[in-house]
Amino acid sequence: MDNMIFPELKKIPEDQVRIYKDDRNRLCMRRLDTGEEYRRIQLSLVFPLTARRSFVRVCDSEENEIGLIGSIDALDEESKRTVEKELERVYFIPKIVKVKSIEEKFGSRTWNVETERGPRVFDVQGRESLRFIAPSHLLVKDIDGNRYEIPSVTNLDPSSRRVLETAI
Amino acid sequence: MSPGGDETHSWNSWATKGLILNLPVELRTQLERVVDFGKLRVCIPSDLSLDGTYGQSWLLVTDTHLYVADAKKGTKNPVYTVPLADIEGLKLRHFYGNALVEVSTTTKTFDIIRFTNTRSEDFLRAVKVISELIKSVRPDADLGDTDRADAEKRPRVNRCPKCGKVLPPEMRICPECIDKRETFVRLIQYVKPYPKLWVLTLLLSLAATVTSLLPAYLQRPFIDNALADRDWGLIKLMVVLLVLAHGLNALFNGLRGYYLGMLGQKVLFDIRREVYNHLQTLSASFYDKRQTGAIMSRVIGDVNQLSHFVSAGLQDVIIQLLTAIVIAVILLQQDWALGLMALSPLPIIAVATVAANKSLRKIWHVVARRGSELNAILGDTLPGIKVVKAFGREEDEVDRFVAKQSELYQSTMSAVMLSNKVYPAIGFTMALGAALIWLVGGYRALQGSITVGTFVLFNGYVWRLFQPMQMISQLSGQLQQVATSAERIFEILDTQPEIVDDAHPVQVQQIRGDIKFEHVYFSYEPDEPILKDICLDIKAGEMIGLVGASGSGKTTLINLLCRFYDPTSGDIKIDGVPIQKLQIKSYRDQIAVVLQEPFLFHATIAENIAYGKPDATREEIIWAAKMANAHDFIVQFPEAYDTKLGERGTGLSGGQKQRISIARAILRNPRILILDEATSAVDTETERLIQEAIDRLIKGRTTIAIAHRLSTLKNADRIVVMEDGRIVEVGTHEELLARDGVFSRLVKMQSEIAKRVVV
Repeated sequence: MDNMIFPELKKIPEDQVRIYKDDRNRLCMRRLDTGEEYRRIQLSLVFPLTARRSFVRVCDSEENEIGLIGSIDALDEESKRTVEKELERVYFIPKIVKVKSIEEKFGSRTWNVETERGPRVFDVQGRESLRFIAPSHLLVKDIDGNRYEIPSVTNLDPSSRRVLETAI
Repeated sequence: MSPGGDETHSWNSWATKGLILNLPVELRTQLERVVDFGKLRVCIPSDLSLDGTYGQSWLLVTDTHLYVADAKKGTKNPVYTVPLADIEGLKLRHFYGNALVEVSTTTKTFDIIRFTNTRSEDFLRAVKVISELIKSVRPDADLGDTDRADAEKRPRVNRCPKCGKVLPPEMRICPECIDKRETFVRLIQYVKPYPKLWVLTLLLSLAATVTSLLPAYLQRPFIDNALADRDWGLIKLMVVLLVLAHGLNALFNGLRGYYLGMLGQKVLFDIRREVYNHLQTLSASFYDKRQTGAIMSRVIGDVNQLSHFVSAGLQDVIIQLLTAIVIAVILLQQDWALGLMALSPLPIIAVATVAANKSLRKIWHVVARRGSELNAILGDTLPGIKVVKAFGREEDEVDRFVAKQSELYQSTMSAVMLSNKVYPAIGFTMALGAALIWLVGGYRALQGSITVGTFVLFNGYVWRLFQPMQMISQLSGQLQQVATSAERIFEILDTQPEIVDDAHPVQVQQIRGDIKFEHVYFSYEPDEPILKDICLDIKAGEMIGLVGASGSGKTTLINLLCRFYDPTSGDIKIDGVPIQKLQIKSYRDQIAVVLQEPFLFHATIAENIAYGKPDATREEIIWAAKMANAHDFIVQFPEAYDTKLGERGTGLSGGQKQRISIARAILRNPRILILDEATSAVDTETERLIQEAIDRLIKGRTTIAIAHRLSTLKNADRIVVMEDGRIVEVGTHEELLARDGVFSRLVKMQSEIAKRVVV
């Protein structure tokens, strides 16, 4: 018990790190304090739904955790933009801006919606596919595992709300 | 009541309460010569004679003597006397289905009275009283008391305290004796917070009632005045009035329905919250005795019934009654003789309704109970569906369900049958009343003593008069269900938690973690002590391994330490303070439990980890997960810490669940940690990860770990071996191995099994 290892959080200080794309368009990270340099890093969120601007997990190309970046907003501008862009690639959750219709047949529901990325029709099955990650923040999972979100159900237009009401 | 017991005597009167019953007159006269009734302490009947035939013998005890009297007629020498001073020993002996009181004197030991279990409780108390009496005349007597378990009350059927009938299972109220009025008064309390809404809906109901009665009232002037006088203007006016009445009626009905619905929902909300709130305060023992499904059906189904009654049902009754009264007044005022005739079926209907409802009430109780039994089966088997499938028992489960369902069908059908016998008969009686109005009213209209308009008005109102009656009689059927539901709800609300805070509880901020068991006894059922004379002194920060066969009392010991139950006797002290003195919430805040079957909630991983510390920051959650070797697998899920777990944590492997629950415990940072076989049933690598996590977790805390796999206890400071509710060995791993006792035997057994497995 004496040689017990206590794991650390391995937080990466935001002001001591730069994240950038190198000339071969690989995502890289450099520690200013230690001078360490990582190429082909991978970014993911530890709380991808409830905290999208904090706790970015940085891994090397082998999926080994290098550390956690506490807050995206504390990074310098360039790193921030790079991280945002990368995360946008990793997490694709289009926002639904209008719910046109939801029709039920054979136990699944067909949603016809307008998203910020354009119109979309998808099928949803089961109650578990709808999930409120905050009181008015709805996350929808379709049959194929794609995600959509409605950041604020209460701020939808009245007709969308009426349509949505039958489904939730 | 008492045949001569003087209450002024120094003897505690409560001790003998109910132990002095009235002797049959004949026996009493016989005994008066022998027994000094002025000093009577005990006088109770048995229900068996010594030879084992049913009959009455009486046990009488005065300050100096013990008497047994046979009430059977023609017994020659009915009284058997023993001076208390001669008694050396007295014992109540429980057997199967009956029991005896055994007395020893200097010369012999013999049975003095025999009785069945029905009477054993009285005799138990009597024996205690007698023992006290004997002690006062003969201090050296060996009153080898009945054993500890017997001294408590035996488990028994629940009987109604009022009528003595055996109560239906799961119920503590007697369907025969419930005071319905009291139930309803209590129900009405739930409307109280909404006086405005209640008055508003009542006024709207009144307005709706009045407007609905108007059209029929307009018929008379229409026929007698407008038609008879050929007054076209009046006809037009009447038409306007008629349309207006119907229009207003529609409006009032609509508004009433809306506000009534609102009231109903609010009441539903309140009751359900109260019930759920109360369920959370109840002690673990409440849940031991009940099936989850049965409780669930109360919270959902029964509460629904209630709220409907409190809002709509109650108003319906009032409105229908009002309607009936208003119509009765109108009819009597129009023509009292004809009015009385129209009202004549009322008493018959009232009597029939009351009679029918009495029977229906009992049936509805049965229906409700079987309904929740059905629910209980679902609540039981659906979570265990994998077990059902693995053992190929699907068909048996269906059979079980169908059997229960057909019971439900039977009892519902008998209710259906009864109500369909009674209510149509009542309807027919009403129709006879209407026919009578035609007969007499028609005759009098011919005679000319009433106008055609009056006849038509009567005809219209008679049916409207019966309508409320019919509705009330149907409603009272519903009321039975409501009363039943109400009682089932109130039963939960009236159940007091067994474990409650001390009157002046000690609030603890941070305990050290010293635990001391002092002669702790415990039993769930009065007859079966689970823990016997547990004495154990655990130092703060010590790690104790708890070992023993299943059923040896390990889990019960833990339950007591968590204060899910209180010891039957003896003390548990935390830092020297009796556990009952500590404020429960603040004490439990110091404890964390990692169970063999970790219970995860239907929530995200982060929420599950933070369950014991809801205000934990995200950083703390990640840290705890890392400490528990859980972080690495959590971040592999696409939604990482935001991953929502299925019911009971489905979607995770056993080892993963285990580590989440360890993270939960780490985050809680308890002073006392309880591990229940945390490493069982996982592969070697996972076991290493878990063991590492556990080692981090237990550092610096008082830990009690239950383990079957003895190898996992090498790190324990001391190992406590339990057998049959007692602690049989305490010591370090090496000490116990050297002792060659229970522990070393267990270790040898396990290593042999392990060898065989390896080969």
